[in-house]
Amino acid sequence: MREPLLRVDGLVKHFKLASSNNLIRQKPVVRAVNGIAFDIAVGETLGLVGESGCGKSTVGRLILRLIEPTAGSVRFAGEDVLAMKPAPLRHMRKDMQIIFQDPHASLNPRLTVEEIILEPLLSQGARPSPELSRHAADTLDKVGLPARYRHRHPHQFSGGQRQRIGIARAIASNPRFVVCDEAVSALDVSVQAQVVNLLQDIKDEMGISYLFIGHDLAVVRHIADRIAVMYLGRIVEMAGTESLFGAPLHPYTQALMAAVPVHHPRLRRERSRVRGELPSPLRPPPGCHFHPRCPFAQDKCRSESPLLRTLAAGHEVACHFAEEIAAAGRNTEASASREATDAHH
Amino acid sequence: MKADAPLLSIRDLVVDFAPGSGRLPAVDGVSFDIGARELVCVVGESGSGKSVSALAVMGLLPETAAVSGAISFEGRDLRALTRRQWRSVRGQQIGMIFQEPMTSLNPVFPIGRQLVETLRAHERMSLRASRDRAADLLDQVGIPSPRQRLDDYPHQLSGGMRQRVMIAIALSCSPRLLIADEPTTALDVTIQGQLLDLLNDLRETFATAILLITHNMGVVAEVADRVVVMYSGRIAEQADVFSIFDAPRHPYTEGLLASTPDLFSTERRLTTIVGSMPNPAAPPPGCLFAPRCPLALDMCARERPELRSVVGGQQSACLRAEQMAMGDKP
Repeated sequence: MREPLLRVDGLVKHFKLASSNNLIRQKPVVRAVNGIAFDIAVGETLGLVGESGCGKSTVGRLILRLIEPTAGSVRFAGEDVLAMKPAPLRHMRKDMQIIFQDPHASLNPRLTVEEIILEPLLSQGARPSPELSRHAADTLDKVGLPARYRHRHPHQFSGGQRQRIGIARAIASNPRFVVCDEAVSALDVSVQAQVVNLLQDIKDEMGISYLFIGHDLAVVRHIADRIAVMYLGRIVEMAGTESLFGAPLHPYTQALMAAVPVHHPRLRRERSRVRGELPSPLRPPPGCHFHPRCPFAQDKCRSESPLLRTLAAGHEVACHFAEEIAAAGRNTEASASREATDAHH
Repeated sequence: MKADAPLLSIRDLVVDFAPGSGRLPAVDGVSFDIGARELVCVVGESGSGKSVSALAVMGLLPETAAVSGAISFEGRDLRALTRRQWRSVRGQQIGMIFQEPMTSLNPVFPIGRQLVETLRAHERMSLRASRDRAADLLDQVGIPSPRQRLDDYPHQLSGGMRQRVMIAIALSCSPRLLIADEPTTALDVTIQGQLLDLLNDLRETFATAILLITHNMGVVAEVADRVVVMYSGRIAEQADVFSIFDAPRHPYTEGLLASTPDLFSTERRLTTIVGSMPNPAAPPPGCLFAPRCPLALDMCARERPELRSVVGGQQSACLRAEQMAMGDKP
């Protein structure tokens, strides 16, 4: 098998907090990311989903070394990203870009659109030139904005247009890999759909790989080839998109799917909601982190932390009782999805 | 529908923040009713005027806004209330919760004190009785160990718990109407599900009507009895929730439904509505949705259609509403 474009292994990030109590020497530690591993192939989109505080955005920033990992390895196109010195790292960033969530906060208000788009290239040593200006115009065209907008400032645009500018900046250096960190979450639905489609078009045209970080499973389903589900700093399930939605194996994945609002009022039903909330990452529960909220939890779950293991081809899950739960859930799941399909047609 | 008067009735509401400027008003001729115990969703994207409409009902608009139209609650003209009279309406008869529970709770007081303050502002109660009642309320909104939580400050609670506290405060005086402005938007999907269930349950226990403002058609599908779809300050369509989802009579409603990503769909591409909301400073001459509308005809660019009854209780502001049912809908 070919080496993947990106290979993340054993990635860990612990944030030390300032202690609120001076008598206690040891500072509290947030284990934001606690041993994450995944690959992304050329042209592939990996969706990374989970609730706020699960560490998914931290993963994106660690890969780009916007923050330094505590441990682990990140290899991009065969090179060790974490060992890179500042100069080669900066050079590498041409190939690794990021699109942020908030299009109001992530664009410098003092710069024109053209300056924003070309900044990554100029920081790579390019010199301003008519060709570069033409490149900015072409890039704007790629994201569906007229070239004449390039002399305007961010405040003159709507949220959707700003996000297109953010995308233009990310793809201007012709990258091979882009982290989309909740890139469509702040947008209105009609605009969100436009931007999701735009990201797909750009990927098809330029052969980019995405790490698509999001909390909306329905959105991620439309764009991701594979999906990793995170809970309190760990991946609890990872599978191909169809496999994950067809037969979610982890109780947390099942709970996340059950929580997504229905698509039609006829589908309203009494649903078993997941209990409780995400625990504090300062004091994660022992054993399986999900056990206090899990309807299937048993003694083993309270003491032993389950490892991610392969259950079916390309389908990994970190749950002691995944097989039993899958067998028990098959009947109810089947009837629920049949109901959903019926209502659809 | 019952023959008696609705709980809340809004007629020809216009809210203009820049009168005389030629800009489109933020809310432009909105009329709808809410019956007792009814859950009405006002749905629309940013800039549709949905939140401004809610603020108008609560009398919370800045004095600089030019407001016209009628808002009556239990037969009482809310727009004629004095400040003093408002104080007995807000909180006691109409409760409100907002999107961001962190900014609507006071960070320097424990949540128990904020509940007690609301209770004692509207009812004569001893401190002890009001603390008991506050703990009851926290219990009813699903906060574990409510007695201990009374002394917690807002920052000690998660976003979901803070929103539960807001709901407890809003319901503390058993209002007849609860206005909830995007109450679950800032929350995770599992917490959103819990809160929607909670709102539905509380509707029964407190016998309260709910005006829920949202941009999420999924939330509408989960809880609404009736739906008001707003676009650029005007009502595009209103109907019972089944008509909205089964046979929308406005292309904007249809577009909103189609562009909402579906968990069960294997389609890679999402259906979109082309273009974006009109600029309020330079609105298109006819129907405000016409530039984005797949069904638009020449006449749509000439006149701005008024909301009218199409079939049953369904109202649409589209000239082609009748033709829509004959489309490709199943």
